[in-house]
Amino acid sequence: MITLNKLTKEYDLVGTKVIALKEVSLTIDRGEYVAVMGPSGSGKSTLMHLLGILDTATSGQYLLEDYDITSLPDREQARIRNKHFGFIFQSFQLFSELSALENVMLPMSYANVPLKQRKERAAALLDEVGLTDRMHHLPTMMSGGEQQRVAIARALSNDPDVILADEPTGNLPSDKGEEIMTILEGFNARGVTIVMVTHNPDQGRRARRRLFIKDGELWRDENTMAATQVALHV
Amino acid sequence: MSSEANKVLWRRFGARMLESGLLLLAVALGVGATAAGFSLLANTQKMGAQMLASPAYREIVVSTQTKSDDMQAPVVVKPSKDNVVLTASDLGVAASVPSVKYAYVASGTELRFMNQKAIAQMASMGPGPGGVTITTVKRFSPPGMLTADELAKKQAEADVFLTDVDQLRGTAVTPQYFDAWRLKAAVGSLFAASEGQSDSTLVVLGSNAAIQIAGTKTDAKTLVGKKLLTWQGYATVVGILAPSGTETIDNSFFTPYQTPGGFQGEGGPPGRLSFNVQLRFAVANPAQLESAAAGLTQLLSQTHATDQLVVSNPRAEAQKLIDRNTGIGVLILFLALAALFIASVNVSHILMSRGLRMRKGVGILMALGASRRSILVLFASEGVVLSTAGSVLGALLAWPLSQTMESALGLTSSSLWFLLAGVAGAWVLNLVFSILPAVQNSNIPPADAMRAA
Repeated sequence: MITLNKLTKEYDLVGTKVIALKEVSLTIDRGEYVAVMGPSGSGKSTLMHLLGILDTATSGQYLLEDYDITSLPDREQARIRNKHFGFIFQSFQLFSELSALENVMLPMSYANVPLKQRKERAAALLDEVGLTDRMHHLPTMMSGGEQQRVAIARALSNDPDVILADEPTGNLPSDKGEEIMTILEGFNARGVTIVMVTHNPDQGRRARRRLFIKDGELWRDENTMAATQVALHV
Repeated sequence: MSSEANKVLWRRFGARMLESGLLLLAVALGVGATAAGFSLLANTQKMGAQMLASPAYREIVVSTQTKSDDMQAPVVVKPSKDNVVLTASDLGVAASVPSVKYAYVASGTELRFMNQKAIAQMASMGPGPGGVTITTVKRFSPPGMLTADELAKKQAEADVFLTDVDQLRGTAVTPQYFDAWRLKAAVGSLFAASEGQSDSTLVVLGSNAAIQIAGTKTDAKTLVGKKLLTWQGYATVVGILAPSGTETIDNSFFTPYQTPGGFQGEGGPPGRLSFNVQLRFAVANPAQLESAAAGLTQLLSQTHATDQLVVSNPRAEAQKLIDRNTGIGVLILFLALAALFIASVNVSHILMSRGLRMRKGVGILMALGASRRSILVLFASEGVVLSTAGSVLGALLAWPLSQTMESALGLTSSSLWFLLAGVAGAWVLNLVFSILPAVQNSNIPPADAMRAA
């Protein structure tokens, strides 16, 4: 479903060229559960931004369902982000002015879903993540775990193909983190592709595939279920 | 545009009501002052142009020296060789100054109509000083005060028209006045030079004055040829002017200027033998006013003592007044624009900082599907609402402000359109400053916005 061919991202910092990601090539199939791991500053977030078309590559090619989306106009990029990707962030990133229900409704409004349907679907998703009685609460009135569950419901609101989760349990105590992992794995079991950045080795081991990034390069690509490892750099 | 994203923006706006209210007030003051300043300047220019277009400002007025001491002089003065007296015959000098097109006398006068009300008033006053009842009427037959019956008889005469109007102000003019002021008769005719010294009083009525005397517009046309009964005698209406657009002309009447005769006091010393008049000379091209004034001064100095002659150019005085008012208008507009600029920069600055505070939120919105355009519209709507609401409030402030400033400068009429144009211009200027932050805040890559603190 996703194919990256020698994707490179360079930044120009005051005349100095910094390579954040260097010629990364990989393929992610529909329904996969991928953990992206690596030390801080290794390029994990850059990879996530490129995968979610929040950033454009300096060189290389990005194919989504065999369509080259490496460089598209802003409006088309926004449409693809809205329809095909769901984002979950470490610090939840909910809008504190909106209720849980309105936060979940937000991505659907960019897809021009009518108000009534937006409300119904948002309520159903919040029900699914166990927040039926918290729909009209503001994020500030909710615990971290509850906020992250709202964020998961929001990520799933437009029925995306891929969920990109950037350390989704990083700001949560372990028991709440476990709840979130269980919810994510539940959606993966229903066919949603999950790409998750994590520093937690235990959570990494729960993914069926692990990508290790180091110094901007894809260091290792492990398929934990098949117990096969591909060492890209020795 | 996302309705949920709108809620985010407007709830944040509402959470900063004090800041938003102060911004609104700053915009309102800037817009109000600018609109009032613009209106003042535009009205000054418009009224100045209208004023200078009037035939009155193509005139050179020649009169004799007047001093404050003259106010204490006796009413009847002995003529002496040293006295300078201008008469209507002095208008002849115009023939020797090519740039002068018209020469005339225009002197204020009035008609006091005799009617039931006026007679009742006079009768109630009783005899005048020395027990003399006022009976002196000129060219009036029969002379003297009429009884109610006699008045009724007059009213029955077909060629006499008794009006309910008490009195009417007018101007005694020589015929070229009508050409200089481009006045035409709508009904009847104007009077000619030869009629100036005739024994009967002729009048040409202004369009409104005729309606005022006759009572209705239809009856006004029937006044031509009728005699109006006045305390001075009969005044025969020879014509009614077409509306001129100048209120003072339409509301008044014109009668031929007659050189007054000598007055001999009974058994006393000889009185005034000649009457001093103001002579008016009009040019076709206002640019020739100064040269014409010089020419007239030179010619009149051959027959009159120059130190007692005053040759004035009302247009130059008017131009000075217009220039002064324009200068004040420009200064006020400049200061108002400075205030608007400061207000707009503040709006821009605060909207920019609001956008920066929301930068991470912008990144999240983009990740959720917002395009740069929808972010631009989202932020711009805040600026548009702020600018528009401030301008509406500014318009409400501008009206009394412009009225005050215009009355202070002596402008008698003001146009609402100039004020609205000023508000519109100020609104557009402020809008540019309000939308610029939206352009900047939306023109950022999503990943950069996400990295914002």
